[in-house]
Amino acid sequence: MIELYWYLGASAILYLIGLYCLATKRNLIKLIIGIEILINAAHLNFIALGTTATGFDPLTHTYVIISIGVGAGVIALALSLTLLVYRHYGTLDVRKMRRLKW
Amino acid sequence: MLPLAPWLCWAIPIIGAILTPLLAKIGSKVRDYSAVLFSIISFVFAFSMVPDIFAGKVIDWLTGNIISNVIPYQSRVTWIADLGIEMGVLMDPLSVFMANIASGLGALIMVYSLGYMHGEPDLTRYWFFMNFFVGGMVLLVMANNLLQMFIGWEIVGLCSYALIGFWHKKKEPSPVPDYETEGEYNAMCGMKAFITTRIGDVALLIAILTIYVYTWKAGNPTFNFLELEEHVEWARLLVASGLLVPTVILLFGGPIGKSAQFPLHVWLPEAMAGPTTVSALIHAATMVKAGVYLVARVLPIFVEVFTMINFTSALYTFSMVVACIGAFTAFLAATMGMVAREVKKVLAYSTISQIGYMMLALGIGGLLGYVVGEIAEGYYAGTFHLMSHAVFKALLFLSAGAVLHSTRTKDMFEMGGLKQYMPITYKCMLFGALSLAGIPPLSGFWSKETIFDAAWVLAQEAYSHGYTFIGMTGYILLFIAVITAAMTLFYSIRMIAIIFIWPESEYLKEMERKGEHIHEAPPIMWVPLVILTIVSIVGGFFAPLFQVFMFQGWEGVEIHASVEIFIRTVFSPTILMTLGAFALGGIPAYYFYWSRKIDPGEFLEKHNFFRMVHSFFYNRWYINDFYMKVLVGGFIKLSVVIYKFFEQAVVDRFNYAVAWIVRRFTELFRKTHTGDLNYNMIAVMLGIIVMLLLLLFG
Repeated sequence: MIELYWYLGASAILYLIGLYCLATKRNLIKLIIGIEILINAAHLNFIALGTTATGFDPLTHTYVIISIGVGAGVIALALSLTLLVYRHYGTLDVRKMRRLKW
Repeated sequence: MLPLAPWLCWAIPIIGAILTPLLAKIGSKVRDYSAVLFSIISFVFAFSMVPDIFAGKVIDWLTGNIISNVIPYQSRVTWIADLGIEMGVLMDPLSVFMANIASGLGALIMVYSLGYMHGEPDLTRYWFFMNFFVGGMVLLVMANNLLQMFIGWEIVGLCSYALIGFWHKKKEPSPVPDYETEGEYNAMCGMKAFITTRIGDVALLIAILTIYVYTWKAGNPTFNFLELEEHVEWARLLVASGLLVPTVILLFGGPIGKSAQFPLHVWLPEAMAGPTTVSALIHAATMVKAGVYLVARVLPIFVEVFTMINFTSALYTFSMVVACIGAFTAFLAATMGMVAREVKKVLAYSTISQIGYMMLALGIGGLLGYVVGEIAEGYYAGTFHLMSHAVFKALLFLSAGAVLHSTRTKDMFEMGGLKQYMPITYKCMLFGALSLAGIPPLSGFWSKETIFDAAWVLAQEAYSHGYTFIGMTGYILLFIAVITAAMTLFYSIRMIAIIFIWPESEYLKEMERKGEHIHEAPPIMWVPLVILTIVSIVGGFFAPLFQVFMFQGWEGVEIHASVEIFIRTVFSPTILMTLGAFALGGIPAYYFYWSRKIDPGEFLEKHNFFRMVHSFFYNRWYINDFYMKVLVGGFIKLSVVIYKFFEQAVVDRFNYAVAWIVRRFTELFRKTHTGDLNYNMIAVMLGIIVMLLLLLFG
């Protein structure tokens, strides 16, 4: 059996990758991918901590499955907004989108 | 009765009101006819309860089961048992009678509206509020507890407000100089009605809650009428705290506002700004009777309860206030009615005056209860007059509506000579006016005579029981009532003569020249008129039946269920006074207006005294101006002072100070807020690193 800290380490690395993506990229779609990586880091962490040597807690799995479902909805919404934003501004650069008013 | 009739008779119009906007999507014809249909169904349900009252037991027609063997019968749904809050309906003679008046006249007037309001814009709103009104009114009278009654009370108030200002979009110049358009004026009239009645409503609410709090203190919290009558402990506690008399007077505040009694009578003449159908239904036949209904509802309870706790002086005070305010209002409004120029204003004043009569009768009933322990005489007179008034006043308003509809003016002096153009309306309105004036054998005669008779009986009984003051008051009340009857005849003749008998006015001739012919109302309008006319002619002859109906379930009431009742009325001691009143009012009116031997205008110019009296009456005793200057003006002045010295000086300054402090504080951090996502994420990363470091080494 793989030790717990491997999972936690992988999760932390995923999390850092996500944050790095958010901190350096300007393209909206890339940012969304970054958010998705962050979410998955959290999922992995959750499941890993819910698993013990004797078995696992089914509740954590349930939550994660629900979270994946909700996450899919959130991403779909974000992408549809992105599409509208692109039609409106003609660009996907977040720095150019400072005028939510219009 | 039809199954669930006491519930459905008010639920159906309310549901109908809610459906109206949806039905309007289908088509305007569907909307109009279904709205009328809802009110007719409501009447059918209300009417189906009448045989039960006569029979003295409640029978479900569908299953044939006997639901209850006694009247009053109540059907209730408890909501919060510990607080005594419930929904329920009470079936007793008074509630069934009022429900029939409200829904029956409602149905007739709705039919009439089909013709009268034909082609108006915003009819969805009209039908909605009319049906909502009928529902609210029937809810008010069927309610078995004070709280539910108050809800109905507020619903009808809202509908009254909304319908007075129905024509708020009219762009014609305003009839009074203070407003730009007629629409603005109409909206103001609605507000005036709403605010004025609100004063009474607040008093009523205070009284209801006081009673409730004391029933709660007595260990049995309830709003229920029958329970209030049964468990009298609340009244004992109220007496102990010295609040009983103020509470019953405050309770009468509601009827004063709603039924336009002095000193809150000022709103009703302005309420005539609404469509005439609204005036007929709400401001003549039903809503303004809600106050009379409430007094009639609580009076037997008060008699019962105050006798039980040996505190009849509260009953005495209450009845005295009701009777005196009623008599004074009857007189006051009749004087104004004699000089009004607009036909609907005359009718409005006469409504106030006639409701004063009903209050007077109920007050006399209460005083009789105090003197001999039996309120039946006055109670019967009040409710009987309520019925005949509802019919003939609705008739008068609807005829006036037909006249207004074809002449397009409100001013009586711009009419004249309509007898030849509108024969049916003329006859209907003539009978209505004669009934109003109390000419035998129309229904108004019988009901008004009953009131005089009750006052006479009160005076006699009071003297023979040693209550000299009450006896004297009884005679004074009778005298005022008779004088008012004289004035009633005067303005009835004046109104009919000016509209129908006088030669055609310049205004009408001008209309003719433009090619607009004055025509009789369409059948959909005159058929309801004829029905009402027939009812107001023969209505008085149903007095024995009415007595049997009204006193169903009462104990120890002497019922004259035969011809005797008519003989008693005709040969009552007061009949001579009535004849005197007819002479006093009728002869001058005949010379001034019918035969026109004396020109009223010239007469006024010659006699200084009468001119002054005329202008005093025409300006409504200056009560309106007084309220406007002192209450409205005073309030505005007070508001200005508060605005200057509190709002601007204190509240505003405090807010500016807070805003300034916050701004100076945030300026310190303004640089860090770039609004750039990437920078923010770097900050998040730094935060995480710091937290990790703290975890590792902390």
